[in-house]
Amino acid sequence: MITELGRYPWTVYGLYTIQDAISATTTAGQLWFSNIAYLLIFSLLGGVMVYFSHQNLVLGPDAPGTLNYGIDEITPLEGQPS
Amino acid sequence: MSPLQLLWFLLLAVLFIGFFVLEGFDFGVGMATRLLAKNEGERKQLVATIGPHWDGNEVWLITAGGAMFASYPLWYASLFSGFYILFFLVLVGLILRGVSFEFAAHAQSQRGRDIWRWALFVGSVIPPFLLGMIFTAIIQPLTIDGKMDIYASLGEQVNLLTIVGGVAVTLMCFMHGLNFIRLKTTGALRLRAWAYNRILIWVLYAGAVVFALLVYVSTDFFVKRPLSSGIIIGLIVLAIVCEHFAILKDREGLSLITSGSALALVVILIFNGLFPRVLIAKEAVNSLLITQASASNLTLTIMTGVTVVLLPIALAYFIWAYVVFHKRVPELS
Repeated sequence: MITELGRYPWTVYGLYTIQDAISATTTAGQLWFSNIAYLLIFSLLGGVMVYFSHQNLVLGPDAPGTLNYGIDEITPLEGQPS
Repeated sequence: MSPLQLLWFLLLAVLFIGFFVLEGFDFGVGMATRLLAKNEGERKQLVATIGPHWDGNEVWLITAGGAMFASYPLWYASLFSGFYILFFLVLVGLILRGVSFEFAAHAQSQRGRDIWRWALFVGSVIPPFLLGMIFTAIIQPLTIDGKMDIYASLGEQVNLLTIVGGVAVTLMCFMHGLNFIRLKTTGALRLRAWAYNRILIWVLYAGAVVFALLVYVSTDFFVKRPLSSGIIIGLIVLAIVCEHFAILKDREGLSLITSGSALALVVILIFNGLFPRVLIAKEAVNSLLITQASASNLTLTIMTGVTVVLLPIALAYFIWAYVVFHKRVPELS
């Protein structure tokens, strides 16, 4: 955010402003749509991430059904006690 | 036109060909999780075939877009702004697909897994369909003003050729994915994929005829480049015939190569028809030419130098990933 707020009003410092760089063909409606859609999608993904983080914290690393289940099992050598 | 400009035009075609040939079967397998697989075990088997590869394959699209941005910034600017919503929806599809792998693995309930498998299906149908639409929209005359801005109306983005193009690319990706499934799985899934492709190849023949007719009618390919366009369309038909032969004889590797070739030839048809323009305008004087749209010679030189050094390394570890995971995925319980 620091770089993007700090660069205002330049896109390229001294040569090209943000006003010059705006695309003429994307309407405000299209920009609103994409911004809102991004907000919704990433809020959803963030929420899912929090949900799964909580789930994995509660289950622990070696519970059945988690991704690491079974990786650290030590298989005994022949004839050795397990 | 300088040699570097021509080289980067061709390299962009190569990158898009690489994307469709490689990510095409990832999209196809993603569609197959809903259309082919009947239970969670089969879906897991399908996801295991593309698990190590889908992310690297998607990078080809990002590289193609990035290379277009660097080597043809004016083409990138006009195209991506003119088709803003379509490209944005492609992105939404890719995001949905990308997270679905991770979240389906983490989900503890079958209902949770089903939700993310649906995300995988939707995210595997949307990108090839919309990219097919975009590619077949830019080969038709667009409304471009004197300042190289595309003001594509709804009718220029959604018309018969673009819809047929989107459906055709999605169908070809699905069949390409089924051929990949035949190559990379064992058991019931492989036989079912084989049966599907034996039927779908006839749909593809019909689609190819309709597509060729629409290209003849809606674009200037057969006015400006009749010989090369005709040859390439002939080669597409030949690739489909060879794919049919390979499917009937159950030659899995050959099926994959021929379906990939058909996808590659469609991209070649588009780039061949565009040349020497990159965007076609309704008034010919407003068409964007390669020489107008390219970056400076210094930029292209630097890009070429970097590519020559880094591309062999990238290709080497890319191929290595396929070699490491060459075994077939058996049925998973």
